[in-house]
Amino acid sequence: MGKDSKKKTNREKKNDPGMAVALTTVILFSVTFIAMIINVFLFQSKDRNVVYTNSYNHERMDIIKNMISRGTIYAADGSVLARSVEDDEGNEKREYPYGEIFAHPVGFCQKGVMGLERDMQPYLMSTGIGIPEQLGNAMDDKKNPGNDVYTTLEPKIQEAAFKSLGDKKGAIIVTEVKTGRILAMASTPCFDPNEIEENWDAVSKDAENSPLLNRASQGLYPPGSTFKILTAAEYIREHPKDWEDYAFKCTGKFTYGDESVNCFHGNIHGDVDLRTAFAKSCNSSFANIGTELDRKKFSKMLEDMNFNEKLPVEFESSVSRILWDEDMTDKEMLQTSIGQSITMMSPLHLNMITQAVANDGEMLCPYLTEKVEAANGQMIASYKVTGLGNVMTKSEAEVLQDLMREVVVSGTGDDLNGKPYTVAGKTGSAEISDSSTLSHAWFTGYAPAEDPEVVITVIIEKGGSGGAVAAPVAGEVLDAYFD
Amino acid sequence: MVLFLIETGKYINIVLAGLYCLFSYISLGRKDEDGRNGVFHILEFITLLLFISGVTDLALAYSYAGDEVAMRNVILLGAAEAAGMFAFARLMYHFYPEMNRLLFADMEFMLCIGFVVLMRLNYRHALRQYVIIAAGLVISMFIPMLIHRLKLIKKMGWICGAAGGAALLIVYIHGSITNGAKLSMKIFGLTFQPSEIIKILFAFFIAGILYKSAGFVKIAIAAASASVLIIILTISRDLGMALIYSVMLIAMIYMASGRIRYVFIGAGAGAAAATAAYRLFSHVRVRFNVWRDPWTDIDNTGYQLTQSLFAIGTGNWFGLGIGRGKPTTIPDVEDDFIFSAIAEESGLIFGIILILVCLNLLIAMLLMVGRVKDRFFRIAGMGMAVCYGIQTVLTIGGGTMLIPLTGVTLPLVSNGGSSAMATLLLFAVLQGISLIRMDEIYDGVSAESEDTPLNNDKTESKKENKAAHKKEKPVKEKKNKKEQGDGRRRAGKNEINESAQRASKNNDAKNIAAAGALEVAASAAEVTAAEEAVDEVMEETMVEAMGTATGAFATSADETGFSGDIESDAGDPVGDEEYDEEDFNEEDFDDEAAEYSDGEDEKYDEKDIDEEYDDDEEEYAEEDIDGEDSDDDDDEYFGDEDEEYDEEDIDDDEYSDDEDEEYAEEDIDNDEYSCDEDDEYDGEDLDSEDDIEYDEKSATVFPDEDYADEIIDDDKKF
Ligand SMILES: [Zn+2]
Repeated sequence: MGKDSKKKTNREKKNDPGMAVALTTVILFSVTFIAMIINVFLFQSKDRNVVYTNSYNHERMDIIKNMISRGTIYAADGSVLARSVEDDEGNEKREYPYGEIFAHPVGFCQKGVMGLERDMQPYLMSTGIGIPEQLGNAMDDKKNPGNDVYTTLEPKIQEAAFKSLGDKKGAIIVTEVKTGRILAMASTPCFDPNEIEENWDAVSKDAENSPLLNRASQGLYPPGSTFKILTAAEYIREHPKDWEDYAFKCTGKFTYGDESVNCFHGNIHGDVDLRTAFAKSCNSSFANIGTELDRKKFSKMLEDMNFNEKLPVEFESSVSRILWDEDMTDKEMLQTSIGQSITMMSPLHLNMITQAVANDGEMLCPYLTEKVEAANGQMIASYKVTGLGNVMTKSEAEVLQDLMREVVVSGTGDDLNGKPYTVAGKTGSAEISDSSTLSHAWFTGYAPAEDPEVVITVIIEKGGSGGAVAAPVAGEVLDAYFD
Repeated sequence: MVLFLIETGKYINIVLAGLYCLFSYISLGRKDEDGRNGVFHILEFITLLLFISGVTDLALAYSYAGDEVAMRNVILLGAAEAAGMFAFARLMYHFYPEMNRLLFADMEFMLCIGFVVLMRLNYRHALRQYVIIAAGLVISMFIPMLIHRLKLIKKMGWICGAAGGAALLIVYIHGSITNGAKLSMKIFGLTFQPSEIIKILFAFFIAGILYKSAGFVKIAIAAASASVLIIILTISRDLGMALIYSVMLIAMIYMASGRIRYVFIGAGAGAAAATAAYRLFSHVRVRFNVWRDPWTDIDNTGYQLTQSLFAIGTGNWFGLGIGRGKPTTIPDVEDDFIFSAIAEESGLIFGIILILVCLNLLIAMLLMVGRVKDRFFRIAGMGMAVCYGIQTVLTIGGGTMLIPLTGVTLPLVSNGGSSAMATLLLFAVLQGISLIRMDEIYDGVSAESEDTPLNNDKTESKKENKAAHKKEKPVKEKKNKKEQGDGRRRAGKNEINESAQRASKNNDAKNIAAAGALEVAASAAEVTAAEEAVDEVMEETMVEAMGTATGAFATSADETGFSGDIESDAGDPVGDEEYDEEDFNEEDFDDEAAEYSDGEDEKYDEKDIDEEYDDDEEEYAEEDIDGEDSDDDDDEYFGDEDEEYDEEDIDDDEYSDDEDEEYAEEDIDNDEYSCDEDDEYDGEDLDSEDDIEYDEKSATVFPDEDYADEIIDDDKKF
């Protein structure tokens, strides 16, 4: 009997492949259909930003506007940065209590969208309240409330930053060393988001001042001497034991092949080691170091530091660019070593690198949004610290911390010496190709030097020297922080 | 308040669709061919509710927007659609009580969704589509019957292929240019896209080549001749359709050969062809690049796809509400992007449910096709099922950026006359195939019935005996055959085959007779008209049905006996026909299969039987009017008959002992007969090699135990 049934099953198989084929086909198609579902599910859960912000979807956004009352944006201390109010005729209007102070990070939502209004639009313009509540609103012919966004921005620091920039063109960005939270992000010239509609033409067409540009994240400037942090970092990496033995005699000018580099304002620094060269920002010395660096390794370090690629932040930022490869000319190499040539960086990027130094080598992703809550208080999304990896070792970072402290103690940043808190940092005076104007003034640093809490990066366009112009501005903001 | 209703409607739709999806998968697990499970009523009820809800939502949205005219139009057309669907469903149940109910329910679901979304997108097109679908449904009411009867189609494979090829060529040459592809032509002012309809001919064509054997040569012939069609489509720049045809071809070869390696070979060839197409056609390159990055050229080539993504994204999980979104910003939304329109307004949850129901429909098709034993229809059905599946994948996958766009419509939902008509016909053909499957069940399940003439003899002889008892005509023919005959046994075989065909008609007759007994409460005028039309065509059949009601009741009686036997044989691991023959001797002839086999054998030896049958036939005709008693009569009848033939049975047993070998021999013998038989009856040249190949496989006959219960249910009805 067993034999017979075996025979039968064999024959059955041979005889009736139909069901097997059908089932195999069912499986193949099921896999395909499930792939379709997963694909569309992922699109819906992840890629929502483009849907809510792309201007080619404005017709649908108009529909959404009639269904959802845009959510509120809060500062870290709970004060309102942006809210929707109804005017006398019942039309919804956006109100920004701080006016132009938070204009760039918060943005606006009339005449296009910008800033957090743009990045958080999928949340602000959708509702997380329960279905029964939504139906209740429908019953009363009311719009559903959008979700509320809670930011990391501190009004006290933001106000200080905005005030310290004054009528200068520039940007300040302040972040927390251990988290990457952005405490302040100011950019001038500015605009008042409350009156953006009325002033749209003036604001949007002002090519000279570009008030809409968030210089902190979208501005690109030659890093100047602040780039020496990276040149020094590479030198230390290549000379972990004997970097302190570095010695150079500065004559105010360094010549390599047919090319030469001058020290700032023709200064002659004499005999310098690495610490002094860094503190005094000796161009000749760093150009010399540049000639000694392993080009391949330095390229790798720059790559790790997110040059030439989009920064992993969730808001709009410009890509810092640099040319450093084995085929570069002597001139390019010399200029790049001291932060000139075609190198361009955003203040945000420099802030991230400074933060990595202050955080013993681990770079963190800066972020603006703490959490998103539905109007009924239900948590919709929360953001947490995102590590971007160790861009340098702890010992390398400690050497750099030492060098940066020396800048404030005895170097170009000594304007910040003698504050009630300790500061470490690096100044920069980035020369512009148009030599008739002043250089861009940079300062990037952190405080307190012993146990870093906060990183600050300042750029003052055509401000002059970093130590004289940018460092004092940083000091004002740090005063507010430690107040 | 209106807003509240609109908002509530969104969630109601999702819940209803979810319930539908749930029940449709539950019913997949059941033996649905019988279709008398309550779940199908639930499915249809949900579909109706969903349709009403959808139309209401749309009307409310128009009312909320203050568009009274649109609101009235929607309500009127919606009512007409609901009435039409209801009438169609009643008619289908009436005429085809045995059809695959899940397939039908899913089809209704898709049609209803299509109606609502089309009404929302473009009222004029919806109206036109309604007319086309109504016409398609009326036509498709005849298709299952035709398929079921006209097994002749098997011999028309090359005609189908040639007709299809010719039509495509004509379109290529004369066709108007739409969307950069020459794929349509105008007939009487109607734009007609033949490649849609020809899909069905294509399936028959390939099945006609492959059903007898799927050796390498046959597969090569099939692939080569299919390539001709595919190349015509390609030069017509209808690449989506070329892709569909290719996938159908691969699936049918896979079904015919049972070897998955052909799928891999086909996939490889497909990849090569795709690369070639990428190089050759600029519009393929454009679509590929758009798929990789639709955003950079959002103004131009990327516009369509990005609008589709915007629609899905803006709709979010629960949708903007029917009538409240902006789906018309997507170019060609009614055709290629209908899924995005649905997702935008009904929400992605609804969209995902829709994908799952599409999958459910596909699985129902494939399972049904897999159960069919008739190789021709199994292969053709496979092609059509896969055609549905791949079209769904191409449309939804394309609109959601999983794969590049191919410009294919979503079957049953998208706008498009040719597409809708083709899909309805395709579904009707599949229903016809499912009826063939039901025949196989009633016939005690034959493996490879038609294509393996030997086996035919074995299995269909059962029917033959039945028929022989009940019909004068076959008996007369039989006599004639015998006169001409090349030997008694052989002539008998011929006879058997023809009577078998009659017997299968009797099954129909049974359906129709049963259906005729039902009162159909069809309210709409068009329904009555359609019914009348159907009735006219079926008139002849009906007459026959009444005349041979005997057959119907006898058949059901036989089935009772048969299924009873299956139960008694449940413990027997080998429920084969051969064993049944043995049972026949020991048990009291309650085994249908055994009876028939016995009858078959002795018939050839006993010349007088025919006369006896004639007498019996008359008796039967009288008694059948009562109906109820026929079971008993039947048993008695067979009992007597069997006793007479006891001697013969003992002979039978001899070869059942050594069933495998003996049967194989038998098969080959029979094969000879059937070759001749085919020549005589159909004028068809059978490739004898092929036959032998299949005969070896087909010797076994399994009663399908799964269906035993349902068959009993069936009988209760009569
Ligand atoms: Zn110097």
